[in-house]
Amino acid sequence: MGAVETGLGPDPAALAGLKILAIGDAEPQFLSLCAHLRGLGHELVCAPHGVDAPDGTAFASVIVSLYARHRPDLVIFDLGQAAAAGHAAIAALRRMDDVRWVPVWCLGLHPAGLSEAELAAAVGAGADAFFPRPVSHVMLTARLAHLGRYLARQRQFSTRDRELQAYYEAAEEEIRAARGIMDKLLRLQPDPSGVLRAWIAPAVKFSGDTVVAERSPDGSLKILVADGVGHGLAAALNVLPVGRAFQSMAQKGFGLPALVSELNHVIRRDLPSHRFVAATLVNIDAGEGLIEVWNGGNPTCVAVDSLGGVVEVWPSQHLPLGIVDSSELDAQPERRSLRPDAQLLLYSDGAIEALDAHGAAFGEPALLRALTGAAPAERFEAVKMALVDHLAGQPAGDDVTLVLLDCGAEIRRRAVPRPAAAMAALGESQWQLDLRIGAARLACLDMAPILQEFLGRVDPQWARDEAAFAALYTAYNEALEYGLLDLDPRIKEQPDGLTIYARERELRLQDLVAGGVQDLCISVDCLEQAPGAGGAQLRIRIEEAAPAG
Amino acid sequence: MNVNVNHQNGQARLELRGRFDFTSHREFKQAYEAAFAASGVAEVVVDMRDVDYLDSSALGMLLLLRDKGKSLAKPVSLSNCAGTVRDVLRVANFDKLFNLQ
Repeated sequence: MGAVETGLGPDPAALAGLKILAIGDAEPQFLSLCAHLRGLGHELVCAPHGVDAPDGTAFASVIVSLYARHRPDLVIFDLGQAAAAGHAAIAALRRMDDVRWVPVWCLGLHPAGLSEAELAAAVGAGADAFFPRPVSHVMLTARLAHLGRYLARQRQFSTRDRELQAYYEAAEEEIRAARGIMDKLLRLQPDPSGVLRAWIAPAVKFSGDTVVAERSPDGSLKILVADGVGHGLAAALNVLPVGRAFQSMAQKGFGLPALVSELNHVIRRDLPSHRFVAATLVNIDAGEGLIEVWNGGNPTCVAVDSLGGVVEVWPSQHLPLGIVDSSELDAQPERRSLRPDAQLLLYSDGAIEALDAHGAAFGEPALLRALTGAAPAERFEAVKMALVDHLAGQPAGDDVTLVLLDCGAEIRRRAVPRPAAAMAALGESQWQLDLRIGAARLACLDMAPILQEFLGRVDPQWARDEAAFAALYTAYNEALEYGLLDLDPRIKEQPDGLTIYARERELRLQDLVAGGVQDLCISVDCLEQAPGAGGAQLRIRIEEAAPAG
Repeated sequence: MNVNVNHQNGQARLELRGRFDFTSHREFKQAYEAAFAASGVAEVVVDMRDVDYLDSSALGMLLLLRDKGKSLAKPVSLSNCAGTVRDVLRVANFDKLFNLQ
C-alpha cells in the first residue's frame, strides 16, 4: 500500500512565504499569533484595530491604503470588541479595484458566541472565514498551507492570463496594422463623378471581398469585384495580389481578356492551391459606347433601366479565377451597347446568402425587388437598407459586397470636353513608330498598353491625357478594323451588333493567318502641322509587311 | 457536417449531411482519404442529397478531392445536387470540372 498524502506536509507547489496584513490590538494572544506566523516564514504588515491615523484619516481608509501599498496575499482581522469598525474596513477593502480575490480571515469570539445577524454582517462585508479564539495554531498552519497551494495555482493562471492578454493585444495591434496596409493597398478612391458606389461589409475583421476601380489611359473605366475563398485574413490575403495586379494592368490600359488571364495566372502562381477567387470584371467604355462583363463565379450581374426593368443580365459563365490554367480559360467578356439609363448591380454571394435571425437567406428575389422598386438615385441605398433590415443586427456569415455602376454618369463624365494642350505641344517634335508583328500574334495582342508605354516615353504629359490617348487608340482600332480587316462599322448598330462585330473581327483575324499573311507592319506617324492648324496629326497604318530578308 | 461512407462494387459513396463549410475540412478530408485508401475502390461519388448549405471553402475541398482522384486516376463525381447546392455549383461553373449525376 502506498503512502497516504495528508495534504498537510510541505508542498513544493505551494507558496511558502505569504504577505499577510494582520490587524488587531496589541494584546498577548494576537502578538503570539503574529510571532507564530513569522516563524512559519510569512511576512507580516501589522496595524492596530479600530484606530484612526494621527492625521485624522479614518480607520477604514488607513487599512485600504496599507492594503494598496503592500498588496498582501491574506488579511487577518482580529475583530475583538470593535466588530462594526472591522466590518466597515473589510467592506472598504472589497470595494477596491483588485482583480485578485484576497481572503479575509476574521478572528473573534467563538462563532457559536456570535449571533446569526453578526455573522451575516461580517460575511456580507466580505469576510471569508472565522477562527474562534483562542486560535489553534495547528489549524491555522494547515489553512495557510492550503491557501499557499491555492495562491500558487492562482498565480499560474494569472501568468497565463497576462500572457494571453499580451498575445491578444499584440494580435490586435498586428490586425490594426495589417488592415491599415490593406486599406492603403486596395483603397477604393471616392468617386466624385458618381459613377460607382460600393459597400463592403466584412463578416469578420478582414474582408475576402474586394472592389477595385481603375481608369485606363483611354478613359474607359475598369471595375473588379473579387470574392476570395472563405473569409477573414486568409481570404483578404488571397484577393490582395489580385486587386494589385488588376490596378496596375488596368492603369496601363490592358483590356479584359488580358486582365482575366493575368489575374488567373497571378492566383495560380502566388496563392496556395484551391485558394480560388470568384471575380467579375467590367469595362465601361463610354467612348466606344460599349460595356463588357466577364463573370467567373459571382452571382448574376444585372442592369436595370430608369423604370426599374431588368435590361441585361450577366450570369456566371466561367470558373472562378485560379482553378484551371489560363490557357483553359475563356477570357472573352460579354459585350453590350452602353445604355445611358442603365445601372449595373454587382454583388458577392454573401449578399444573397446573408441569414436573418430565423435562418432565412436574403435571396436574389428580395435583392432585385429592392433594386427595381427604387428610383435610380435611391437604388444603392435601397438595396443596402433592405439587406441591413433583413439582417436586423445579425452578423452576415460571409463578406458582403454591393456595387452600383451608373452608365449615364459615366457617359456624362466622358462628354465633358478635355483640353488638347498636350496634343499641340507634341506638334513641336515629329516621330514615327514602326512595329513588325506576326499576324497570328496580332489576334491576341493588346495594343493599348504598348501605345501607352511608347507615348509615355515620348511625351509623359500626352500619355496622361485621356482624350489624346483615346484618340490614338481609336485611330489604331479604326486602322485595324476598317482598314486591314475591312469591317463595316454599321454592323455595330444592329441589335446585338457589338457581339456580332466582335465575332467577325476575331474571324477575320483568323482568316488573315489562314490566308498566309505572315507579318504585319504597324506604323504610327506624328506629323507636325502648319502653325495655327490646331496641333499635331497622327496617322496610323497597318499593312502586310514585306517578307523578311 | 456528418460524413457516412458506403462501399459498393468498387464505388465509395461519401454521404454528406448538414452544412458543408470551412468547419468540415478535417472530417471531409479524412473521409475521402480513407475512401481512396480502401481496397478495391475505383471511383468516389459525393452524395450531396442531405447537404443544406455549401460555401466557397467547401468548393475548395471538392477541388482538393478532384486533384486527389486525378493523381490516383480514380474518377470523382457529385450526385444528388439540388436546391442551394445546385445553385452554388452552377454559379461556380463546377459542372465544367465535375461529373454531376
